[in-house]
Amino acid sequence: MKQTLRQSMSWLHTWGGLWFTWILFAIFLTGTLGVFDDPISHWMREQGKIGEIAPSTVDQRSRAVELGQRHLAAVSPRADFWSIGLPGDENPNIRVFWRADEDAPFKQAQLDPLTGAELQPGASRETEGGHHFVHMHFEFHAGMAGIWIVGAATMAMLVALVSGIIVHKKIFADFFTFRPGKGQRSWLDGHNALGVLTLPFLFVISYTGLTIFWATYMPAGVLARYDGSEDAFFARLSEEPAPRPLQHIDALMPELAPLMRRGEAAIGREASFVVVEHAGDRSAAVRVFGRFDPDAENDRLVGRGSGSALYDAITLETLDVQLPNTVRGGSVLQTQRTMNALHFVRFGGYPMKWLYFICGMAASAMLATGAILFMVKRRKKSANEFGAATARVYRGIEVLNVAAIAGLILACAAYFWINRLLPLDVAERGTREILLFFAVWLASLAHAALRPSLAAWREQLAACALLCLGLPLLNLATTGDWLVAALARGDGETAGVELSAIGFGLIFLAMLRQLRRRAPTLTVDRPETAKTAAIDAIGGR
Amino acid sequence: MSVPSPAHLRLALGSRVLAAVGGGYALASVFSIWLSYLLPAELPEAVLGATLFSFAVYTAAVIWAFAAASAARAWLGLLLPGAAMGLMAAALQLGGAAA
Amino acid sequence: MDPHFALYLVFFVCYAGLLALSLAMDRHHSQIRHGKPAPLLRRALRLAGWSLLALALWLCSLAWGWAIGPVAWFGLLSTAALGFVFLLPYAPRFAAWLAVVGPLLALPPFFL
Repeated sequence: MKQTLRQSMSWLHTWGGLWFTWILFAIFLTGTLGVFDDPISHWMREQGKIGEIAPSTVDQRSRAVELGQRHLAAVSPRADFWSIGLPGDENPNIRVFWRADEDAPFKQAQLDPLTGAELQPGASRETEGGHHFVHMHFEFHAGMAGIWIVGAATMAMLVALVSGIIVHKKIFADFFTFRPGKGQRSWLDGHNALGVLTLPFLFVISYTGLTIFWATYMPAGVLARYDGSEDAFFARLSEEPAPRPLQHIDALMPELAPLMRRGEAAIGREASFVVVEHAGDRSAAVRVFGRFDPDAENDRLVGRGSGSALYDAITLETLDVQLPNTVRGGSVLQTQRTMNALHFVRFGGYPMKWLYFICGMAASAMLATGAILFMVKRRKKSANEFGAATARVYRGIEVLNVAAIAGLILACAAYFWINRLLPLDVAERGTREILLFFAVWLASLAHAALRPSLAAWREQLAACALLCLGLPLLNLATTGDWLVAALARGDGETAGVELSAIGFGLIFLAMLRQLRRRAPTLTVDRPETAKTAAIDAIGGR
Repeated sequence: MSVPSPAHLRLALGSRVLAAVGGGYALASVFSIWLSYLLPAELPEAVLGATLFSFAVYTAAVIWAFAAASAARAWLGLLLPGAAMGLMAAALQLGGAAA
Repeated sequence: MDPHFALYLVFFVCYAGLLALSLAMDRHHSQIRHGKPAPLLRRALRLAGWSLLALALWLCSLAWGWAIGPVAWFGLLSTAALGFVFLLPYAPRFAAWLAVVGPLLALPPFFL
């Protein structure tokens, strides 16, 4: 009863793939949208209307730091950390962040850059913007649990890639092959072509995704050789001073503005953030971060730092200075950072981002076609893998396919609408937007469960097309800004978001047309009860 | 997972899945410790380098667990190299401590 | 080389290379032209295809350097292949002509 390698790998690819494909589709789709998190945030915060912000002077920055410090000292005199974000290209306000202690939640506020008065909700369109997609991508907004789910799915992705290559009969002979209009054959061709043609991307993006969190996912080495002390390990690895333990002795914080000026002089860059670790404690330290310069040394993959300077907050002694675009640590650390850079596309600007975006969308489509292919095969002829429960399990898979693929796309498109339609003055507006995103996703699951599968696909795709194509109109109706105005002022970020939405809308329309043409072949057959089919399909022996 | 009907087949499949997920992870962990002794790099970097490779080992282990002719062979193919690497790492640790 | 210009240029060089490689295969040769390629033609197409892909890599290194260049090359190779493979069955002759028409339309604006 032995089976060939190809048979066992086919079983692994089919079932290992199926159970992870819904999570993986979510990871790839939101990660791909996350490539453009900045333009998406730009659109969502209506930054196109603000226009260019004049570069700030050192006095303006000092004043901003003073105002930020005054606010933080009032709201949280003792804190695990304070952070003051200085006004910059994307946001003219002062942003302050703090956390009372290690277990407390992060808090933030925006301050007027001239008066330091806290800006009330409603003054601006408070939103997580494109970061929402990035957080979905690596943790599903679920913290550590989410990071582990994503890690497990990514391992499944690597296994599916390797098993998929072994299963694929003729990678080279079929390299350019796509035969449309042939039902199951076309779905398989499409799945294969999308996977094979983006294979380098798929391997790199999956492997580098795992190695970003290497110490979390695979802590054995640190546990065995550093007694599990990550702080000591990382301090030596990155050749930076280790974090200083809390002393629990109150201390007066110094004026931060002069330290900011010292930091700017030390690293030779404008400051972007001033951070205080252990504010109000004797162990407090102040770190001044430089502003990232996208044009400096942009032919490098790695080591493009913005620079930072670290000071003892009590003695004002310089603890550490890292100049911009310098590298610390040995070659292995640089390798790992190169892998991170490859994952985050932190190089090459927009041309590279577009290449990643296209490859990421192809990867998402590869996952979607795989999930659909599973059901297309079984609609024609049930493989009867689950005995009497087969029909029910198939129905469940079909529902999850609709909700995980069309439903997630719908929720992503709806997120842009929510951003424009939710009143400006609701409390916790950014969080509310994300909750509504999940609500739409959940509604799509309910809809998929209630409707026949073909109708569910059609209706959700139609909704996706409507939301995407209507986005520019919605923006015009709610903010008065529109595509032509954005193009006229050279605002490529706003225009890019809306043009992409139109492009996706047209793709969904094309899919709808295709669905209508093929509708008759998509009806679900009654599952056959033939025992032979069951034996064929089990595989796992 | 499509469930094979006879009970012993179901058990064999469960055993393979456990070998792949748990056994593979254990093997990758032991591998990362073992390799950290052998890489020609300073200690913190050696640990990082070895761990970067361990995800490939995990992938290979999962593939092996399902490619092996039987569930017993799947376990054996994970346990033997795991034990060998574990013993070697322990010997290197003790040798390093003695020296 | 300006990276935006390089993006279009390398895309079409990759596209042409892939087109040549596909023309060297019976299945696709008969899709675009008629019949099978003669042995000599087949060899010439293969040589041309691989040479164009190598040229594309070299152009990438000129535009982005050897750190980022190979990444750009893989990305452009994938996008060109996706474009070609999914265009080919719908419009085989157009897919072939695009290798000539595409660069003629996309590249001159950069010199204006």
